[in-house]
Amino acid sequence: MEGNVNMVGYGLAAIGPGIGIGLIFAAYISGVARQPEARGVLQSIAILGFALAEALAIIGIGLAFAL
Amino acid sequence: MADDHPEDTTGAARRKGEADAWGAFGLIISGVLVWGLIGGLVGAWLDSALPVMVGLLLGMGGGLYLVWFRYGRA
Amino acid sequence: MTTWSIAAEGFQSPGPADFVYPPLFGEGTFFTKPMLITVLGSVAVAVFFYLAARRAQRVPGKLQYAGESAYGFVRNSIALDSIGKEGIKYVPYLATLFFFLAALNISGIIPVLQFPATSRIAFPLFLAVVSCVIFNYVGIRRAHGVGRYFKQMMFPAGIPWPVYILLAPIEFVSTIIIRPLTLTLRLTFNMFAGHLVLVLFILGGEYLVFEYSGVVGILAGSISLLGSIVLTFFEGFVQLLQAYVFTLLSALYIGGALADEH
Repeated sequence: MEGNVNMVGYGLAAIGPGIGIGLIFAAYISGVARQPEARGVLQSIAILGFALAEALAIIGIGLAFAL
Repeated sequence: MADDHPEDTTGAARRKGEADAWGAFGLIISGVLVWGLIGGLVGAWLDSALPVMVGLLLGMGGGLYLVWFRYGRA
Repeated sequence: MTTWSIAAEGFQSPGPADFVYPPLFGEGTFFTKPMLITVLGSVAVAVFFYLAARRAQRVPGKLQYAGESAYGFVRNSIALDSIGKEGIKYVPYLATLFFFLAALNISGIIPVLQFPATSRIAFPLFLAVVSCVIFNYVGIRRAHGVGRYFKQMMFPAGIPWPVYILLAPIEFVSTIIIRPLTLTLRLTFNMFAGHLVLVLFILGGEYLVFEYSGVVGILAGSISLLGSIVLTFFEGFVQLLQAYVFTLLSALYIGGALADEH
C-alpha cells in the first residue's frame, strides 16, 4: 500500500466540515419540521451555511494538492 | 428561491432545493479550481507558494459571494 | 511529501486493476466484457419496451402496464416535476438515459455479468457531455443567441463591474465544466466503489474460508460471505438511485436553462 501523508491530513481536515454540514442540515430539518411555512427562508440559510462549511473542505483539498 | 406555498413540500419545490444545493457546491468548487489554478501558474512563474494560497482564498471568496448572490438573498 | 508502503502477504486485495478486462476473443481484438454488457443492456431495454408497446391496448396487459408505469415514472416524477410543462419534449431523451444507465448499473449485481459497465469512466463521461450539450443548446435557443446566453450566464446584473473579473470565470467553469464533471464522477465512483466493496467481501470471504482456514478463518469468512449477500441488495438500490440522480440532474439543468429568460 502506498500513499501520501498530505491526503491523510486532508482526511483529518475533512472531519470538521463533515460534522458542520451534518449539524446545519440537522437544524434545517428540525426547523422545517416545526414550522413548515418557513421552508423557503430556512432553505436559503441552510444552503449558505452548507456552502460556507463546504468551502473549508474544498480549500483543504486544494491545499493538500498544492503544498 | 423556493416558492412560498407551505403545502408544496414535495415535487417541484424539493427538486429546486436539490438543484440549488448542487449549484452552490459547483460554484465553490469552480471558484477554488479556477483561481487556484491561476494562482498556481503565477506561483510556478514567480517560483513561490504564496500566489496559490492567495488564489485559493480569492476563489473561495468569489464562489461564496456568487452563492450568496444566486441563492442566499431572501 | 512522504510516502510509505505496507506489504500484504498471501491475499491479493482487489484494486483498480480489477476493472481492466482483456479482450474477450483473444489478443488483438478490441471487444471487452464492459462492451458486451453495454450491448446486452441496450438490447434488453429495447426489447422490453418493444414488447410492452407492440400491441398497445386501451386496457393494458401486464407487460404493457409495466412499460407504461416505467415510462410514466420518468415522465411524471423527473421531467414534469423538474422542468415543468415544457418538460414533455425532453421525456424521450430522459427516459432513454434513465433506462440505459439503470441497465448498465444493475449489471453489477446480475450473476455471470457482475460488472457495472458505468464504472468505466467513458460511459458516464460521454452521457454527461451529451446532457451538457443539450442544456446549453436549449439555453442558447431560449436566450436567442450564443453571445446573449453567455452574457446572461457570466455577467448577472446587479454586481459592480470590477467584480466581474473575479466572478465571470467562476460562472463559466461551474456551468460548462463542473456540471458534467460532477455528473460523471458521482456515477463512476459510486459504481467503482460499490463493485470494489462487493469483490472485497466475496474474495476476502473465500480466502478466509478456504486458504486461511481454522475456526477463526471459517467464522470470519462466513460472516463476510453472508454480508456480501446483504451488500448485493444494497448495491442494487444504489445502482438504481444513481441512475435516477443522473437523469434528475440532467433534467434540472435543462429546466434551469429554460427558466433563465430575462
